[in-house]
Amino acid sequence: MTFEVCNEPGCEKTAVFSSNYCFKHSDNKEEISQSARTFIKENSIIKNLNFSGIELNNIDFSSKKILFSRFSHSSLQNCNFDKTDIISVFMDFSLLTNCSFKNSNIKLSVFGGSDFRKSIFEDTVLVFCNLLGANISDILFNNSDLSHSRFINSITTSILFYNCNLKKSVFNSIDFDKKSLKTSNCEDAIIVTYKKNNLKESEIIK
Amino acid sequence: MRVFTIINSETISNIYFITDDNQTEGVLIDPGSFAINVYNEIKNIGAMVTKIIITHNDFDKIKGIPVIKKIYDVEIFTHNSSEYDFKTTKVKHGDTIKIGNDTGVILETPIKSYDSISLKIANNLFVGDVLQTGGLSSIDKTGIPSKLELGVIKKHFINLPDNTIIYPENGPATTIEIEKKFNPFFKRVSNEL
Repeated sequence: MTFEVCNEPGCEKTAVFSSNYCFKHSDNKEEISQSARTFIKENSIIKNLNFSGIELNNIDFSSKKILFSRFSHSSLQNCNFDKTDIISVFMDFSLLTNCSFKNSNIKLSVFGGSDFRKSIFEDTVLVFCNLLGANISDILFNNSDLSHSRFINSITTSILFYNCNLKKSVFNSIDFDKKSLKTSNCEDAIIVTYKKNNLKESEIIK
Repeated sequence: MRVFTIINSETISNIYFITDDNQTEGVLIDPGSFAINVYNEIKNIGAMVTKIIITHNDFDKIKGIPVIKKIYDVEIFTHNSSEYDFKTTKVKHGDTIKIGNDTGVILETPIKSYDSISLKIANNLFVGDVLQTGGLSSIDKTGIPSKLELGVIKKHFINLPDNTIIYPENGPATTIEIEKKFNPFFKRVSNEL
């Protein structure tokens, strides 16, 4: 997806919803936030829009379709994503705490570096998604399809995958407590052994 | 410009269809076997396939070319044109390909295959088999990179803007910012700079 670049000289970020600037360089931040919230509330399909950096807490996204959009570095706390279609959406480095994703259909989306603490995943389809470095601690995944999603370097303490499809899901063995996989098809998951710290010079093939 | 990801149902890898804003014409990257689900998705998008870019010579990536050529009038771009039994246009590092109002730039990025190329269009980077989210060319490697792999990251990728989106052949999309923070190989190169 391509959005217009921010008009601020030297800024490489993309312009956000209803502005020619990225959220940081927009003067009317409050106005942009308000119009974004109104737009989301009034529309059932959110497509090809950029909400990066905008605070969008306590919004009901349930049963909406969110397609090809960006919510990078946004705050989406206490939002309801039940029965929501989230396809090719970027929610990287976003705050997604206390959100509900029950029965949602999430595909080809990016959540790297996001914070999901205390969120609920139940009967959720979360496939071909990027959760690198995401904080998904204190979460119970119930009856969810997590196939082909990647959890490398995610914070995964106190987490339980109950009756989940983990086919080709990728986890980092160092961070991950394998016991929590046992109620799912853990033998189909890929456990990589990347080291958390930087590799030493001697470990590089010349 | 619009980017559509279509899953190759045979190899469970990504096929990318890049179209102009009006979705009238598009470029297909690594079309694979061009299974019926791919054809149907392209039909739903509504754009005509006018160009194909093959990021590296792999039977899985080119199997469907004869079928595509029967349906669409396409120009095919590859790094090594002599290896294919169909007519292709050879591209090298720095060559440009027009996609709607945007221009894609070819990068020579030989890691897994010697003829691997990547395509950079605005803040989008299509890397073929060069990288995967959270790893290098293979996700189940033991974590030992080659100097060549780290060299390509250092030369072509590490200095791109953080919001650059990486579209790999396998696995989900990612961004330079995510890889710099959570991919141990990127972190290593990043710390060296």
